[in-house]
Amino acid sequence: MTTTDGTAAPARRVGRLRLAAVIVRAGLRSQLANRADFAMAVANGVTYQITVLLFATVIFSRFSSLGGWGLGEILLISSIRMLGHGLYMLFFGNLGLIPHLLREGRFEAFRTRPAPVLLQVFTYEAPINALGDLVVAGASLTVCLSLVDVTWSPAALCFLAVAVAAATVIELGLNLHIAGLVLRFRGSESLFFWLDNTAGNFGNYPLSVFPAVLQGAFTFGIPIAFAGYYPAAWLTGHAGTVPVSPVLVYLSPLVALLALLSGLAVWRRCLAWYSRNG
Amino acid sequence: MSGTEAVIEVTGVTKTFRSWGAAGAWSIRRPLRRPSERALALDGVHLRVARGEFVGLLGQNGAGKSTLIKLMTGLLLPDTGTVRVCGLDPYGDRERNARNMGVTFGQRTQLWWDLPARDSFSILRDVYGLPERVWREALAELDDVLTLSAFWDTPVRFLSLGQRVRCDLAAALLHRPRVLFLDEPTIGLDVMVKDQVRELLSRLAATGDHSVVLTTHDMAEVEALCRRIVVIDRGRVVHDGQRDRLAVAAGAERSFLVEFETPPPRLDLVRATVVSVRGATVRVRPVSGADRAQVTAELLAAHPVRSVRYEGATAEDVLRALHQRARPEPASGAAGAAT
Repeated sequence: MTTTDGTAAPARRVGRLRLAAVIVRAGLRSQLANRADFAMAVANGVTYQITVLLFATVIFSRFSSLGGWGLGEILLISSIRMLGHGLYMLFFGNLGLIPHLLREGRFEAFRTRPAPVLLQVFTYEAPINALGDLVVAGASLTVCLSLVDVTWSPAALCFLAVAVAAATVIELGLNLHIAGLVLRFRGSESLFFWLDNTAGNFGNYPLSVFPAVLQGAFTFGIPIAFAGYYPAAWLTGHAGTVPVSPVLVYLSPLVALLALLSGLAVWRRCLAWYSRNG
Repeated sequence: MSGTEAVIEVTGVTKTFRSWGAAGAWSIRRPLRRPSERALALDGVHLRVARGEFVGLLGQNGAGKSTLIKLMTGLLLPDTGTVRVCGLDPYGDRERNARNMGVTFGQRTQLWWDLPARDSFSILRDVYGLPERVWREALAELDDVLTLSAFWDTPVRFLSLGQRVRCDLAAALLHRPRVLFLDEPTIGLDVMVKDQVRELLSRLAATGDHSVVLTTHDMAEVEALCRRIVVIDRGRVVHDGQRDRLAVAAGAERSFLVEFETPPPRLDLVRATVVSVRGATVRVRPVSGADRAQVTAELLAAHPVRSVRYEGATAEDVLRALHQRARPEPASGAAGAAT
């Protein structure tokens, strides 16, 4: 039996992106094997995001504008946020599974394999319901583009793309903080739901309609305003009306980078704590 | 212990876990002065495992076996002391170390839950960077012993425990690790599956190339597979040596299993000591110098006997003896105080 002959198997280097692609492809194949499960997962994503949009529509139907923002402009905020959220869920949404992986004892397996722990978490399960999020976000963006009066120059399109990427990374950074806390304090897993709800409830509207304390909180505390509102303010010509300083409309990429670096630092620190304390 | 190349070296390792007392933990009077205690899990443990050694790591629940395995696999950091596996720090060199080792953790699967087991094996081929030909050969050989192909296209979540454990073992061996940590690999399995797993492990042992650390409560497994036995009790290594010398070390070299007609009253024996009493079945151990005939005669005279069986010590007896020596407890039952 050569498997047990003690000869170490020759190893070849496999790129991490390729590895992620292999795992995700296998997960997708498995999800697609059961069409009903697949359809239900997509429908779940669609239902949740449509509920958020319906709530916003009820508000729009009562007020012609909100804080000086028209319907199309507000839809641009929510489209950027939802696209960022959909991409976050597609690539990194499995962070929310960490409490479950810890309880089931499967998290340990990730630490005994020669691959980055986070990569294994991100690819553990194919995040089908993210497709539902992205479908609704895409539809919302299509409607919004027909309503807003924005000249879509190459610079504006690039700004929009960077804004969506920044929204994704901001959500990743914030969730990495929570994932780290889950390793340290088992009772903190509900923060995943709290962040998701907070972003869904407050992240789709102009920051200027909220009290100053919430404006400060969503700018300097939990920076969800950079995942929709601030970049949309630049695109729609509202930069002069944003709280604190108009400079904030350009800072989404920087905030995303800071959130990511800070999130990774917290994650690493908490993983080290977990390794000391079990 | 072998004197050859050390594959695992655990030196003076101590590990404690913090715990908070339940009573008064959140006292109204002193909410911020919550007292914490450190529970000692491992206390100055030294362990050296050479290439090709098959070591049985034994101990009661909570003795520290799993903590030691977690330290050797890099899942935990020691408070003091060092751990080296193939010369690497299992925590600091996590990814490099993972290429050298295979691990199974009892009933907790390490496979992708929603994927067929064969897909998990394919992913592991890429995780470990195995060439296709090597991977196929390894899988075919593991299938030969563990009969995996009958169920490897079924998603892991639908597999029975026995099927899942076999797949987990295969996953741990696919990359031909130099070191294998098996934490209770046969717990909860039926006899047929246990036999298959043992067959695989005995093939591993026969090569003499893999270093294997096995924790188990199944003494038949220990006796069948492990030449060297390390016993841990309350975080300390209380025995480390060849299996056949363990009985001598524990002073449990032989015993009589006596089935009386009825549960016996207090047994006052001169030439033997009562080890255990279960209803009418009593195990006694001859005192030093007593021969088999003398003990048998004394037992026959003590109470009506249905049968007497003379046994060499089983690993289970030895383990019990070691634990009792470490923490003496009063013998239980009516005959418990016999001498």
